[in-house]
Amino acid sequence: MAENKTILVVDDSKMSRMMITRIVNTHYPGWTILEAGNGDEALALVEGRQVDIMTLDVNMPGMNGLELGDQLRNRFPDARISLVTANIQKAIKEKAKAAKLQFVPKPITEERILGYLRAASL
Amino acid sequence: MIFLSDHERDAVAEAFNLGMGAAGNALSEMLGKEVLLSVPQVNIERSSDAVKGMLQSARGELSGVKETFSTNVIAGVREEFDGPFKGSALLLFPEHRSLELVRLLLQQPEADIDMLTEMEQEALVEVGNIILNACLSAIAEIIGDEILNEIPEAVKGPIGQIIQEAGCASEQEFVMKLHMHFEVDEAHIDGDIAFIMGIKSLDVFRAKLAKFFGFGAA
Repeated sequence: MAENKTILVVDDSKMSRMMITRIVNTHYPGWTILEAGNGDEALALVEGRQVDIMTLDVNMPGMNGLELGDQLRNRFPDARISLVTANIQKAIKEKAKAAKLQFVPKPITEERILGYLRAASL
Repeated sequence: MIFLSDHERDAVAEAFNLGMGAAGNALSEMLGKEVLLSVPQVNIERSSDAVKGMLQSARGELSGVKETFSTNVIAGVREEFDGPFKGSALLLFPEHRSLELVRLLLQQPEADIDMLTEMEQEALVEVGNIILNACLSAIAEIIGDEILNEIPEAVKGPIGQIIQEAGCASEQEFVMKLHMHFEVDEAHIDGDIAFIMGIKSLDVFRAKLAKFFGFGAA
């Protein structure tokens, strides 16, 4: 069992957040989950906290997931941060790689999210 | 209807075929079931013609299902895109078909048929987001360029109104319509994907396809 972690889930789709939090709650019941619907909300939410793992949507109102990832990477250099997005273009994958962000394509499935969480919580 | 050379028609169909393959795969993963897809059929029409009801007639001819696409309420998802060419992408279903899809996704066969609940609407937007992104991503791969897309939003209303609100007020704008039919278990769900672009964007799109597939634009 991985030690208890704090995970930040950022997505403007409530359904997507719900799916990810359900997977986390089922497999990692001790983890703390922080949910945000956009980048500004996410940055306010993590203020003064330690966050270990993050999932970020790309297309969101306000700043996009890549811009948010950049800011979060500066604040949390050791955190595991991944884009979780339907935008599966090569250009987005390359930008994620350049920004040292992982990439999980939507649709959200238990297999994909668990694969990321298992690797991220090692 | 806009004239496309045989090469162009093949290229557009192939581009969307790749997109629909990815979309079908994504949908299958979301539903946890096999999704059977028909070969996409593509038409490019002037927006005014589309608004006048060509979507309705084309859909009836293709699917053999006589539904009044123009009079029934349409539900769907719109996503604007920009890049080498720009426009709006729409995923459109007669409302009861969209509900059928959402219920398959949420596994709620008894859900209220009268209206989309908030969660059903969320689910429909997410399905649209994934399907439209799969198509746009496949096209981006083919043209070797990035397509920037905006946040998806739910649309609902008569087809003419939806197309007009997506930017088709001008005679110079065109609708590239892709009819899709897919089957999940016993459910047969028909819908249309429509890409609305101005003439300049359409020309750029055709030129990009011509370059990729190695033939001259008509």
